[in-house]
Amino acid sequence: MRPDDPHRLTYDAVDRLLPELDELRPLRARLLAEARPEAGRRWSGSGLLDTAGRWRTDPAGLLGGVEALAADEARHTAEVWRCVAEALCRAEAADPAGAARRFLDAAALEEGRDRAGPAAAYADAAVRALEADPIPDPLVRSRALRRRARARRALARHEEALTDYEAAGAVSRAAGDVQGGAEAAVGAGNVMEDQGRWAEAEVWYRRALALLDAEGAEGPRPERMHALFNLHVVLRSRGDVAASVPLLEEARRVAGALGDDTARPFLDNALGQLLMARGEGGGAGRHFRDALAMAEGARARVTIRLNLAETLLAEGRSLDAAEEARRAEAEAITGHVHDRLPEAYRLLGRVAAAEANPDAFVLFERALALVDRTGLPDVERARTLQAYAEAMERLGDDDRAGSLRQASEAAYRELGIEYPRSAWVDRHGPDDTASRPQDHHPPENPDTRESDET
Amino acid sequence: MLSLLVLTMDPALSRGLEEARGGGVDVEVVSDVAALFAGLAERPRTATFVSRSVPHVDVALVERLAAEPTVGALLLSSPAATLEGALLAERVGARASLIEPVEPRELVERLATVADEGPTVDFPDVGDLPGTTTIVGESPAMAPVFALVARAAPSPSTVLVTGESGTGKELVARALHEHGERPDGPFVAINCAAIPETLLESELFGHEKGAFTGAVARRAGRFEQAHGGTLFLDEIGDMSPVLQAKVLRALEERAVERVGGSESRPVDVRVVAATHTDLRAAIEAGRFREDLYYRLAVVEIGLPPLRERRGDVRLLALHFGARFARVHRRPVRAITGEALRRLEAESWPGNVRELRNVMDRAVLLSSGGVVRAGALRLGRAAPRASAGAGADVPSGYPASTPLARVEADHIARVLADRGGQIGAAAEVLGIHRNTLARKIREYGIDPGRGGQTP
Repeated sequence: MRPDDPHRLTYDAVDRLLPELDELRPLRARLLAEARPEAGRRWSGSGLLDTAGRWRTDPAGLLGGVEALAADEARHTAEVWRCVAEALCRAEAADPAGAARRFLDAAALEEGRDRAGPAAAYADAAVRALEADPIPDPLVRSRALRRRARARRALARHEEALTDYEAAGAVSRAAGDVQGGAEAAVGAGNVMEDQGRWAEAEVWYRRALALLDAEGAEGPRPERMHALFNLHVVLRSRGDVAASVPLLEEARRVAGALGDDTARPFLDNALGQLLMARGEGGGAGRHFRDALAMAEGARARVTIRLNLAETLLAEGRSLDAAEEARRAEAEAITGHVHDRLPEAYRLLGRVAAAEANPDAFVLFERALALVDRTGLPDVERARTLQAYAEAMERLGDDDRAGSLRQASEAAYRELGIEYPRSAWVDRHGPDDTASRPQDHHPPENPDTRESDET
Repeated sequence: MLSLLVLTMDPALSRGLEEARGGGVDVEVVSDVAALFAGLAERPRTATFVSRSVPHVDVALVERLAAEPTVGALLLSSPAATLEGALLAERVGARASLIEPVEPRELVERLATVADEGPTVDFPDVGDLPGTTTIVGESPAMAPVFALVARAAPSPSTVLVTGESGTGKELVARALHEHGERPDGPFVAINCAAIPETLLESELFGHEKGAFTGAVARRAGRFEQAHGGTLFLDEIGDMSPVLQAKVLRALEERAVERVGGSESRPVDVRVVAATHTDLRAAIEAGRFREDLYYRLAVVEIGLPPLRERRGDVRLLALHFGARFARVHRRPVRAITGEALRRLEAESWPGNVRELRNVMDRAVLLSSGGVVRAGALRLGRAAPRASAGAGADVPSGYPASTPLARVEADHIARVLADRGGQIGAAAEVLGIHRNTLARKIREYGIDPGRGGQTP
């Protein structure tokens, strides 16, 4: 059977057939990575509306690669299990802090594979290990809480993540751990941003900076860079572009002084968005490409790809925009960055609408179904409805556009957000800041930079 | 006479080029950016050579230069071979990326190569452009198509349009509508393959309020929207048997019933259906209703694939070139003879849609007002999320060969085949250019030397 034979299973069909088991993730990722569009559909009118889920997989090819995949998985499992066994040894030796550290190492290994569920579980084990200690090491406890919060945030368990970050901050502050306190504040800000609560996010980022300033820690510190960068994102997204620029410049200066290359993708991505907000698509694309070349994590790569696709769409390069959005979609699926998928489908839907395809609605419906199925924040539903309405308006379907716009407005209102001017402003900040109010705008998609806890 | 504008601060190159003057080459050497743009404002050039060692020649300037209508073929040079330089050259559609010091003879030879693309062929005047719904073609293979369209258009008969994906079935449907009895009525299209089964029924027949979750308001389906006009059912071969039965009933009764409704609503529509699948084989296999087939195929129009319309490739390329130059507002007005020759040598599995996409991208990538062969993204591999050699290429390697060696060799071969152009090679390989760039770096391949491995 040819790889693009229409009788091969689609990835959607695979998804329906396979049980939801974490250990099958490498198999899913391989199937999707090797999937191809059906030959007959590739150039058909429906090709523009295709998503990776419609691509044809190659189960026979998977069969041939199972041994190598299993060997790779075994190596990873052995590393994790070694951490677990060592944690138990430390616990037996009445060293709760040592046990917690090894559980946190296991969590880091899982996070390195974009597995937030197991990462959260191991971080939770670390927190519980410390409960055996009548006087737990505050630095380790704060770190364990932050790690658990980060994993929970990745799982969209926002309330729990916020509670953990708040607890971590309290522990750090009580112990005089300024670094930990600032990291916890940045993390809490990230959680707020995820939910579209910009004003609260800003408060957390400013709190992180205040902590560092109070300590007199003005030198190059990673936490300062993270706080500055995230504050820049929030201000830019809320419309205060002018005030946001010095923050980004300062963040870049701190990153340079730290020699932190891992920050470059985030800083380049932010620069790209800034240029997009100023209508400089060419320069923005350059920064996004630079960021992509350096980015390693699935979440960062998906985010940057979507920004790049946005730039291409703004330049009228709809074919390239769709291609980039599809790459983002595939990486989001293989990397389990599901919260970015609605944006990928919105982008593809906007491309289809820009190409006057009357069936563009399919992609928005897919995004809405995904939001409902996976319990993503309500702001994703509001954004999707809004983009859906704009696309229908563009296609001349005024009735549908009208009802979608109403639904979108209602969804934003429930979140306490005024109806935004356009989805574009939502993502990148406005280009006419003088005429815009400064509050209650929808949230920036979280192109946020967390600290790397090791 | 060939005209070459050179921006360099290399005195040896300037002196050497002096000698080339008079030999059928008009050479003008300038040493700063302002003089370069002044030279370009004077008259169009066959080629423009720019040394990136000259002050103020940065990425933004090269991008700006590439958009100048008088620049001709863009030749770049830099002090060292860098990936960044190769990527920039590829992105702006530069004809060559040379390493300094550049020999005068090499530059003149490059100029001759540029001229070798043959005389340019102007795109048709914008005013002469046919409408976007006009079927472009003069080849003998299209004669029966035009005859059938002319005969079938004035009658209300249902028409089935067949042909490979991308051959232009919707254009035929539009032509039947525009030359039919009701050209002022609506033309409504729907792609049956693009829309999930769960949504397709409601899209076709409409729904009453509350018919299902999400049916927040009553809505007319595409049958009703097309009342008094034409309904185009694209990819009807992908429709489920259940819906086939409902479409058949609608065609026979000339009435539809909305989902969740009981009222029969009369509809007066002309139906044109299309498919790229073999419906007779589908009937044999029990996947398509025979009675529906005969109801649809009152008149059957088969569209030839582009490979059987050889004379039309040139015509279509000029048509799309003119159209996309206007759509993208790019000052591109012609195509070289060599570029046309390459287009005519392609097999076009994606037919007219593939050619259209190639010209869309070529217009965006072209500098100097002319589409050259280097701007054509030909031989695109089927998009997929990871690389892999074509199944039809025999390995030729002993079974003991490491995979990395095979991959490195294949990348080198494709790069050589694509003249060291990273973007073009990445497309053939079916991977993103960043991925290819990384592999080039990993394997130590020199893209500037035709992809040789060390």
